Amino acid sequence: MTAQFGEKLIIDGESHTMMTQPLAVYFELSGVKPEFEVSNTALWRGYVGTWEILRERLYLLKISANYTDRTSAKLEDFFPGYPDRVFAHWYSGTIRIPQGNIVKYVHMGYESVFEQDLIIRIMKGCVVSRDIIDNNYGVKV
Amino acid sequence: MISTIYLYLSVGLIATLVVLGSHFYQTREKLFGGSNIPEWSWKNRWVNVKDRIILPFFAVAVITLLWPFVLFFLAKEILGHFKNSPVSKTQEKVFEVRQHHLIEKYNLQELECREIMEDPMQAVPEIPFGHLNSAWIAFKENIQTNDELWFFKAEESKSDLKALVREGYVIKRRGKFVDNFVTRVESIEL
Repeated sequence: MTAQFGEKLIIDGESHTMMTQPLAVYFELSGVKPEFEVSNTALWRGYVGTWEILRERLYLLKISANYTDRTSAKLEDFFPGYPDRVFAHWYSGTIRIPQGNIVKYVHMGYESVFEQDLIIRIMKGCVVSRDIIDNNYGVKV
Repeated sequence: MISTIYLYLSVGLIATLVVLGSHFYQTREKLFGGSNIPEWSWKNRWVNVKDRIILPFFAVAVITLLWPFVLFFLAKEILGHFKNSPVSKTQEKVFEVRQHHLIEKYNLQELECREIMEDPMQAVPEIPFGHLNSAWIAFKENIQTNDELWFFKAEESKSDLKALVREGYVIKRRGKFVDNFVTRVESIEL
């Protein structure tokens, strides 16, 4: 499968690319199955979410997507009354933020390897740890 | 014969333009946010020559000559995506709670009190299960008098290295599990 677009994550005002999809977990748990337009093979999920880590919590700020009828998706479609910011309490797991230069491009999913990965562990939407993995040596920095 | 070869190569050239156009549209810059593409430098000259000259030349040659195979693999990817979508996987195998997954029994009031969400930025409704409340309400409608409500945790091995953890609540009626509400799903490394 073609390499996929990442999600956008803002940490301390700085924008990063996140190779994890917390919104997919929301769709799974809530039973919501939106029909997004798939415009190219690098975005099979049909949307790109903009996220922020603020005060050690993970928030969803925006969803960029079109439905199959070409209308734009909005946060309020899934989170009524919350148009600008949604606390991602449903998400537990790690999020991966590649850093540095790409050292091996893999034409599939999120398989490409970068110099380092910032791994943030989240429990019910709250940050519990942050680690940097050096992919040249496979060790925590 | 010659005209057939010209026709074949012409179709190949059109396929090349379509495939490369699509590739440039989905550049790595777009994929990775633009900050990770190495600049041209003498230190990286071999990588640059390979990525910017040899591979594109090779790609044009291969697609022009072998375009039926390229279109076959492209079609395979598109069809494969729909076959392997998360929705169809869910339909294939439905998760079931077992007796050994049960952790603790709650009554409805205790459970709802325990699961009220809060956030300093007011980005979640202060109700049981927050943004998952609609799904909870739908689940709650299945609860009958004398049903038991249990918190469960299940760990399903996906490979030697990974497992899928699910947590949530299950309705137990006359010894049988009738419905469950998953509140956490997490892939963990073993």
